[in-house]
Amino acid sequence: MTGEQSIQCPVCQTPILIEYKALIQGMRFTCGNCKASIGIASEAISVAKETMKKYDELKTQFRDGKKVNK
Amino acid sequence: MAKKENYKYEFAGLPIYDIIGKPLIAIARAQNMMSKEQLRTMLDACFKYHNGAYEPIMLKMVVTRSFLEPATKPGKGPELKMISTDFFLPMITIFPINALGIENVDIDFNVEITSQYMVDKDEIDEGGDKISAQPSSLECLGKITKGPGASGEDQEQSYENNSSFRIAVEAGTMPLTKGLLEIINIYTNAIQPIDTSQKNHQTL
Ligand SMILES: [Zn+2]
Repeated sequence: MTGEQSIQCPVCQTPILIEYKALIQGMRFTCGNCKASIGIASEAISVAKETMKKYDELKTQFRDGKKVNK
Repeated sequence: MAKKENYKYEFAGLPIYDIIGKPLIAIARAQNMMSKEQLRTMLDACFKYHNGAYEPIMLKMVVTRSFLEPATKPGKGPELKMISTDFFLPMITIFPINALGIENVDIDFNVEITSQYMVDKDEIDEGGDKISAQPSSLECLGKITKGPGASGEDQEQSYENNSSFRIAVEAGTMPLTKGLLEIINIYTNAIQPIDTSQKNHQTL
């Protein structure tokens, strides 16, 4: 599992490979076609980190067979 | 006496398709449970429940691209400038949500055929099988042995007409469902910027 995802370039619609953990840390990814670079807006990084933490926690709970409280 | 015969028949082994099918059914059930859990994880992490509906958590993104600004003054060349645009992306498109499925399953065991018998058409129909077009069918009963050519006690207890074979089943993950891919696709397409300066722009 590499955590690789692809999202469509907003400029030319070419798929851009992203690694979500790196993206959430603030890394930018460049479109191979039009060279536009995408990244999370600096003010949204904390929200993204929080969601990633929650997502990872849920995944861990699930893998360990613990009941997820809802 | 007839009762004793029955007893012997019942414990002669399990139908081969049960031996092969049951682990796969168990895996399918586990996969089903994972899918449900996966959906809940997705909803919990990437959506917020608001007014009776799940709304996607949107992430503010920035796209930066360079462009050449034509020369404004004579004697000067075009200038390379950067332009940044904000857009919003649903959180769900960022996370590798298919990572919770079963990655690979490898089932490997040996089956010893303990007995075989012919089943006529009527008997198959009762089970609801579609192979009833055939007048009769050969059914095999078997049991799982520890390893290839099990020796010692197992060998001694085996039937006269037995044969043993190895079953290796490899199952892979199912890709994301078309519906889910379509949802992600719609979200992804929605990030395409719209030029609002043109009056007759197309709406999505
Ligand atoms: Zn592009």
